[in-house]
Amino acid sequence: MIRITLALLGALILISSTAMAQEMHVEGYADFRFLSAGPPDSFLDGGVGKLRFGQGEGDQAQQFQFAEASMAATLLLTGDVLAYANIRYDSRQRTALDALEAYARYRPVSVSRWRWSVKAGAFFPPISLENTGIGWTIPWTLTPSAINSWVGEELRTIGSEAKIEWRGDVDRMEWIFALYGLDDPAGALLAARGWSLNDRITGLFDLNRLPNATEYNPSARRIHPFREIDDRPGWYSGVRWRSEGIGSLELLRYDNQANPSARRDGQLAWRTSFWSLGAETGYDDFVLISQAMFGETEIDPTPQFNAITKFQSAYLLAGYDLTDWRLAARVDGYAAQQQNAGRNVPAGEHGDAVTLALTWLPIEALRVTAEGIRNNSWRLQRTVVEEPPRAVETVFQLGVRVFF
Amino acid sequence: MKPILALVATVCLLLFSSPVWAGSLILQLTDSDGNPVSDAVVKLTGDTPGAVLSHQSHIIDQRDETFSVYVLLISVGDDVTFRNSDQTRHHVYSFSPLGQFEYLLAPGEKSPPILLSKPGVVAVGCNIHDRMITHIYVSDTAWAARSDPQGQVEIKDVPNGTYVAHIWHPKLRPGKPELAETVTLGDSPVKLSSVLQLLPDRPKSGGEYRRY
Repeated sequence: MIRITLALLGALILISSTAMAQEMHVEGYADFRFLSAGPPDSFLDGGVGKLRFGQGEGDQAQQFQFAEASMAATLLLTGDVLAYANIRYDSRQRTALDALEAYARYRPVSVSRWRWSVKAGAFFPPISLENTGIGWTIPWTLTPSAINSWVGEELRTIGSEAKIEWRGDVDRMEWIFALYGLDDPAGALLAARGWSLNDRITGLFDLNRLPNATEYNPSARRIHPFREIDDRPGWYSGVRWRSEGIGSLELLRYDNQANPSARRDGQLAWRTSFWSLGAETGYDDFVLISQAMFGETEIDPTPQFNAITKFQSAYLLAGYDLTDWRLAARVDGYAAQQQNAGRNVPAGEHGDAVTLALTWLPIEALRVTAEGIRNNSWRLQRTVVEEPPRAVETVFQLGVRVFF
Repeated sequence: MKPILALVATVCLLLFSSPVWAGSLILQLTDSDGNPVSDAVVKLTGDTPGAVLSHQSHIIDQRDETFSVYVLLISVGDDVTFRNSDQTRHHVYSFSPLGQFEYLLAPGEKSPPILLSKPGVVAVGCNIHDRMITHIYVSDTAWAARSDPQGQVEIKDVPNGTYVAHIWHPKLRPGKPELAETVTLGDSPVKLSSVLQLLPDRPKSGGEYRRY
C-alpha cells in the first residue's frame, strides 16, 4: 500500500511539474565525510557499537566517504495544498534511492487567530527539535541526539496528522493529533540493540539491522520498520507553546497501539508508547535545546515469552551562532531496562555521550562541520559475542555538505 | 478694504497664528551590539498633533520570496496594494484587528488596494511561505519616520514644543516597557541616540533550512 501511495505521489509530482514547473521548488545537498573511527564495529555492520561509524575487523581507521545525496521537491498544487517528497541516494541502502518523506498538506488561509491544517502521507512525527534542515538534517551537528537518532530510524507517520494553531501577538499554541499505520515494528531496535547516536535515517523501503548478538527474532536479523502487522492504527497527540523572546515548550504522547502478540511474515508487532518533552530557549547568539523521552515497548509472541523494555533518554544542546560559524555542545544520557519472562536474555543498558561540533558556513551553499563524539555505554548484551559490557567509542568526522 | 490693508492683515494673521516651524529630531538607533537598526518607526506625540498627510497609495512587492519592505510606514487613510513579481504564487494575508484580508496572487498579479483607516501595526504574512513577513505601520500623525539602513531617523518641520518620541520595531523584545524618549524641540535640530533590545534573527544563516 505504501509503495502504491508513493508511486502515485511521485507520478503526480512528475506530471504536475511538467505542466507547472514554476510551481515546484527543489532543494537538496550532497554529503561527503572524512572520518576517523575506533572500535567496536558499528551496529550497522552487526557490531555492538552505538555509532554510525565503527572500526570493525578489516576496516580502516580513517576513511573518506560520499555519505549521501538528498533531494526534496515541494509542489504547490493550489494556494492551500502542497505536496512534498524527499528522496535520498545512498549506496548502502537496500535500494540506492529511497524516500524519507512523501506527503501532501492542506492548510487553508485564515484571517482569524486560528488556523488549521492536515497532512497525509509519510512524514516524521513532530518530535525532533534538532532536525530542521533539508532532508531532516541538523544545523548544529552532524549526528542527532539518541532520541532523534531513534526517531529517524523507527518512527514515521504513515497516515494523517491534523493541527490547530492559535496565533497571538507574542504567544502561539499548537495542538496536533495523528492516526497512522505501518509502524508496528517500532521499538524493536530499542529493545534488541538499545539507543544509538547516528544520522543514518531509515528510508521508507529500507531495512534496519539487528545486532548479531540479538536474542529476538534470530531468524530475522533485518526487519522492515514501516509495515502493518496487526491492522490496528496508532495515534499521537501533542501540544506546543511558543513565546517570542522566551522560547518553546512541547509535550507529545505516542502510542502505536500494536498488539504485542501479533506476528506477520516472521516480524513481531511491538507495542510502543512514550512521552516526549521538548524545550528551546535562547538569548542573543546562544540557543539551548533540550528533549526528554521515556516509555516502553512490549512483545508477547507466545504464552511462554513476554518482554517489556522500558527506555529513557534526555539531552541538552547548547549552541552559539556567529552567522559564519556555529559552535555546538551536546550531552546525551540514555538507559533501558528489560523484563523478560521465559528466557534468560542479558538485557539493559545505560550510557552517556558528549558531542562537540564546529560548523563553518563560508557561503550559503556550503557547510563544513567538524564533529567529535565520545560515547560511553554499558550493555550486558555485548557479552553474548564475548565483548566487554562497557565500551567507550570515539568518532571524529569532517562533514562537507554542498547545498543546491 | 484697500488691497494694501488686506495684505498687512494676512501677514499679521500668518505671523501670530502659526507655530514656529523650526524643530527637527534626528535619532540614531543601534542594537545592543552597536549595529545600526533599520526599519524602526519613531512617532512624536505631544504639544501639537501632526496633521495626517493627504491620501497616498503604496505598493508592497514580492520578489525572491521576500516582501520588498520589512516595515512600511503609511498614514491613516492610505491604501496598500500587494504585487507578486515572483514566478510562484503567494497568498498574502493578515489577521490583524486593524485589517483582515487575504489574496491569492498568481505570478504578476496585484491585490486590490487595501484601505487602512485605523492607527496601529498590521502584520502581513504569506500562507504558502511562512518565512515571508512584512509590517504596515499606520500612523495617525505626520510626525513619524522610519529608520534608514544607517539606523537614522529624521523628523523635520515639527512645531517647537515638548514631545514624546515613541520607538517601535517588529523585533523589539516583548514584555519590556515601551521605548519612549521625551524631547524638547526648538530652533536647533535635536540629536539623540537610543539602543534597542531586539530579538535575534533565527536562523541566522545557511542554505540548509527547509523553505516550506
